[in-house]
Amino acid sequence: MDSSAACLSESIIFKSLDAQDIDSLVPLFSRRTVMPGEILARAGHGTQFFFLLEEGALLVAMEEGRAVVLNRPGDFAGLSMVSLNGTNTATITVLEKGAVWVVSCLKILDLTDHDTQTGAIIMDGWHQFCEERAPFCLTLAETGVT
Amino acid sequence: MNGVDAVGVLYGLEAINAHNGWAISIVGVTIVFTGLVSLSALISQLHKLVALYDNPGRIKKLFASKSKSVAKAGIPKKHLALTEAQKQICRQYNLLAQTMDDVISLPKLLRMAELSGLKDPHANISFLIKSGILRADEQGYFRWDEDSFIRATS
Repeated sequence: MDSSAACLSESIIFKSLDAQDIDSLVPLFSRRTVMPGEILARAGHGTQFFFLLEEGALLVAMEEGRAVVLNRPGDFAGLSMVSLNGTNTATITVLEKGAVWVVSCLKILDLTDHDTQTGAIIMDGWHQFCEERAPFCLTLAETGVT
Repeated sequence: MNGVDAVGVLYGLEAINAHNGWAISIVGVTIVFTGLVSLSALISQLHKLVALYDNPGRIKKLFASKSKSVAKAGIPKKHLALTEAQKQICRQYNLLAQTMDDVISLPKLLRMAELSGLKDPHANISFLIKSGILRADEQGYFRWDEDSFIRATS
């Protein structure tokens, strides 16, 4: 298993997918080494990519001074945590040297938008991830803040 | 004579002076005032009692959260062995955190660290989180854990 597949299997969001689905996701991700202080996405700019953490730490800075620190392998900076209607709602900054797997947001949204089992599993995983790591993201999404 | 009538009975200010009237009145005023303050404090808190009566579930939650915090307190926290340089970093960030509210906005803390010219602010904030000195709450804000800070820097 290569490291992107390993990282996907480790992620709360993707780990419930079967091996075949994970293998089909692997080509969508490309690895990037990141350094402290590097900005991966800026609030207000168009959303291009989401980031799956392999190693290191990311700061996701949101509105009203809220923030989430992602520092476990498989943590995902994406979907409603960082983006709304194609625009970044959060700035993602690298806190600690490491590596991320970059994926086009359109490809992930395409997977989750369609009424497929893969999409449903990813969204279930996403809810579980948010509940565990950033419960306020779910509340904000419900109230339409993000 | 002033304050004494024909049969030698005291009246007016002399009568008050002669029978410790000033002291008695001060004690009386103090008692009444204390009573009124206590009563107003009690009345001001009555709404909480009424809220508990309206929603008995909150009583359960209150006890549940207390038992959780007692259980948490029972778990011995890991002692961190920091280098002198790391302790210095903790102290610098403690000074910055003191300028903020109880609830810390991490992006703001990072910005302040950058403006203050602190070395490696990104990596050091990550270090403070890993060491448990900065703890995330459920609302996307962080708190400075004074216990962890004291243990780490002592």
